[in-house]
Amino acid sequence: MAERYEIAILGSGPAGLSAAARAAERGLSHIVLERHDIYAQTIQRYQKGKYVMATPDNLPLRSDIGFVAGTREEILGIWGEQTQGLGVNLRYNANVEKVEGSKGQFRITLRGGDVVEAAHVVMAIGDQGELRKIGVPGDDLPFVQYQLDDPEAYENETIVVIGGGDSAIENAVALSKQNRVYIAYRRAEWARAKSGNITAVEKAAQGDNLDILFSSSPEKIEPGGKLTMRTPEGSRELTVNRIIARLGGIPPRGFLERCGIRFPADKNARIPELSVTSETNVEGLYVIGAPAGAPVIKQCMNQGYEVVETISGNPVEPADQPILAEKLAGLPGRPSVDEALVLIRDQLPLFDELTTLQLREFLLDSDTHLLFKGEPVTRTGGRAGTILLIGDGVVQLDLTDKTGATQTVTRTTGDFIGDVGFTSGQRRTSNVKAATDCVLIEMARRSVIKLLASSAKARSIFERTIIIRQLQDSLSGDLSEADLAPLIDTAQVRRFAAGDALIREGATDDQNIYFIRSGSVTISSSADGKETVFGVEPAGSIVGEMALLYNRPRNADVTAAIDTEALQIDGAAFKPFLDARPELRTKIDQAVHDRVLRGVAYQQDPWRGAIADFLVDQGIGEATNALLIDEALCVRCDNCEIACAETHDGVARLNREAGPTFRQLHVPISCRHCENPHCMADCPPNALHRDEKGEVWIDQTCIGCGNCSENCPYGVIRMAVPAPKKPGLLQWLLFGRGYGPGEDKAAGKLKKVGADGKELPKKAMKCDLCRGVKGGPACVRACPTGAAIRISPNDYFRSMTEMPS
Amino acid sequence: MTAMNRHETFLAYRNFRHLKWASALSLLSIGLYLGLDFPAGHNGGTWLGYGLGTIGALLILWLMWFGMRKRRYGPGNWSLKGWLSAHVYLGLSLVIVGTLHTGFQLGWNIHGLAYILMLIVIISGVVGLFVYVRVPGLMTGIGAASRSTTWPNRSSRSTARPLRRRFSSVTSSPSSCA
Repeated sequence: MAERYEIAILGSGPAGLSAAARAAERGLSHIVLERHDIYAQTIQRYQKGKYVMATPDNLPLRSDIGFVAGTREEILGIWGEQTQGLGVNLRYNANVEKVEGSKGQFRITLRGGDVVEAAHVVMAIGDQGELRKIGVPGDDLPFVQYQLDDPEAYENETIVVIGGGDSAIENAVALSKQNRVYIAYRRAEWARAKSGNITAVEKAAQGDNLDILFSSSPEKIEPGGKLTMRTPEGSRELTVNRIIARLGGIPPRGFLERCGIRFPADKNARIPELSVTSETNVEGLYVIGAPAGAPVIKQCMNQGYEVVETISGNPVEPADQPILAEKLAGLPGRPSVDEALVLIRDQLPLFDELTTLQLREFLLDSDTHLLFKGEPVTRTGGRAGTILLIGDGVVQLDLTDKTGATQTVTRTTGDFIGDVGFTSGQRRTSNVKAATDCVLIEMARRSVIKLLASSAKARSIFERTIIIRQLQDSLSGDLSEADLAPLIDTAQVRRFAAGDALIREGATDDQNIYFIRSGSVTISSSADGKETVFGVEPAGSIVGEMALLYNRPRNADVTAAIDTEALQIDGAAFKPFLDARPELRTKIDQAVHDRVLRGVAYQQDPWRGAIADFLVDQGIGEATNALLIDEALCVRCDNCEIACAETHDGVARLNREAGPTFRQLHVPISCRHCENPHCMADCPPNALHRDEKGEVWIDQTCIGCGNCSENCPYGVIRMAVPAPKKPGLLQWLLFGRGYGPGEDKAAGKLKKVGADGKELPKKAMKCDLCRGVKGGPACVRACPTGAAIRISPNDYFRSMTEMPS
Repeated sequence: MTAMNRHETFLAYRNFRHLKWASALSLLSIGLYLGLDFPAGHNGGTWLGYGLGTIGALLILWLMWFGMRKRRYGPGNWSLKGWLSAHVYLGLSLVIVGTLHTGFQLGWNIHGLAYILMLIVIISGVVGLFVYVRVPGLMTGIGAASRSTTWPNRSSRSTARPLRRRFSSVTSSPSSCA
């Protein structure tokens, strides 16, 4: 006789546990069938101490078990305790083989032959599915593993990590601390990983313990640790202690289909056909959580609650419904939330590939604005923070270019405003107003990044728009998409690492023109035997047009000064395009002329080029405001550091002595407020902001995860404990109370342990340019000799070319 | 040297503003001293002597306040560079103001002691000034190779890359130094 329940829940992740908790609370007979010997397997596999976010912040949690942002251990602890407290019936090692039957009489067969009967079945099986195997002979040998719990458990081994996703990279980097590691990826470059991880692995590869093998995949694995790899140079044999393959999971579609669940016709679809209540085509069988398209934990938990309510005859509307209703209330015609979602989808192909739940999550993090004709578009400033998507209507922009000329252009439904700022980080002034009644969707930077990561279509739409904008910005805003079509067709986005050549001097066979999108390039020549730098061109410049326009071989090397992204256009398309537009040709000729003059100034004094090149080498090319010290003036008093600490929680955000020096120009370790801040790439609580004036700062919501500090290539973000407030200066001077200026800096005097003996939490700390402090940066104000200045590198470079030698 | 034109030394602060003020004060003091005649000759007891003495005393108080200014990092439109510039020039002008205050009537008494102590302090300032102007250049050794250290506990995070080889020829030729 089989056990029989009202509800059987497959999977004990956030969705499954939340459903079970609801069932327990309602007194419904239920069972949770968990394949592993532990609940919430996916989260259990997170690395130790990982901080789990509870986004979207404004989505209320609807569950009988708690969930707030916290460490993996805290969250799992709460779930374990609370489900036990509620009397959730959880069965481990229950590997479901098939689900048959219909509402009221489902039969669930487990591996081993046990059968469980249930009136309703809720699939909350996550999207990890089975881990994908390497798929070559020997992939099940004992030294081949498909997950890694604790990288510190291995020492002095030779390990090959296979895969190019985030988990493969994270494992490889962590293992390389005490092992010899190879990471093998079948593609020629990183394609799937987060940029922070790419930076981390490339940095690790500069050391001795990690090698990256691109375009390589395993061919054969033999006992004794023999691994044969297929590489571009042919087969390569490695003797290893361990192989760790992180190849992701097999999506659970196959299993769901075997249970009779219908999927959309598209064979790549991962989400089954579901009703609004998450019910599949099989009545009484529900799919919730990741396989139902819920992208975040909180949504999964809410679905678990909602599905049990539905089963017990009490259907509820989604928890985010009221918030979305409010956000979408301004839409013309006052559609319901569901109608509005359909409208948005119809109107905007950008969202085509999102599931309804993904779209809901996206909109929770966005704001919709309704503007009447003629109304100005105001937003949080012209910063690279948010992007406006035109949901409907026409918007008019006055763009001001570098020369100060203003041009009026329009954008229509589906277009973006602020997109160029998004990629290059450069600010520009423009008046924006509604040319007709408009619906605007203001999207947060992180949501856009997420959107682009999850939808190839959104990525291609976005990319094309950026290309058009960039060409319009560099050439003329009057050019329409149709005008630009011949250029766009040849356009390629190219990425150059620091030191890579875009153009080689003397080359006659390449005709490409580059529109620098982010980063900067150095122009130099070695015609007379030694290399001379003529200039530095920032994002927004065009290079490579000279040879093409004047039919000459390349007369200079153009090298990426820092990681640079450029739009490459074929000269064969550009020349006729320009020939047809004489006024544009004149404009370009003028730009070339100006650049030649700047080059002459550099040539007159080779030191200028040398210093410019040095600064660019230090990444100053991507800075908007850098601290530069003239060591011929600096008396090394460290008053700059002390001033910084005294104005900022007792922790200096600059290190005067560290950092490189060229001749007398010293670049201390201090934030440069990059055009496109690396630190902002991956901040879980979105605590990093960029202000209108360009300051990049961290707010109080910092969780101390250290991502920004890891991502910063310049090492300017410290993880530290804020010092307690000190008594006033005279108190110290006259009565010896507290520490004097700079005295608490000495090691050991800063408090690291709280009154309860626990370590105080560290927070990320960086220069905020003394944002909001009257008088500006304290380091500069406190420099007695004038050695320390904070300056925009572009101004600095310009002043170098203006100076008489 | 070229390319450093965005850095301005404290001596040249705001186009030598404080040098100008200090010179004006000194010239005014000398002018009054020479232009006025007192029945008993110049000394600290005439109205000019008292005047110069008061100015000198106020200057001394203000010069001492530099020690406070240097250690107060609060907000405001102050610049320590400007303060140092003023400290140097006005401090030097104190030699003139103070000396004229005495009317050159120096003797081995408490007044003379104060005068000598004041001069010692001013001379120590001149030594300091010399150090401030001369030593950074010596410490730097123009053309020195790059160096790199990082936050004390993060030795792995070096951001500096070695100087490119191609500039080593430039670096080692002293003739190209400004």
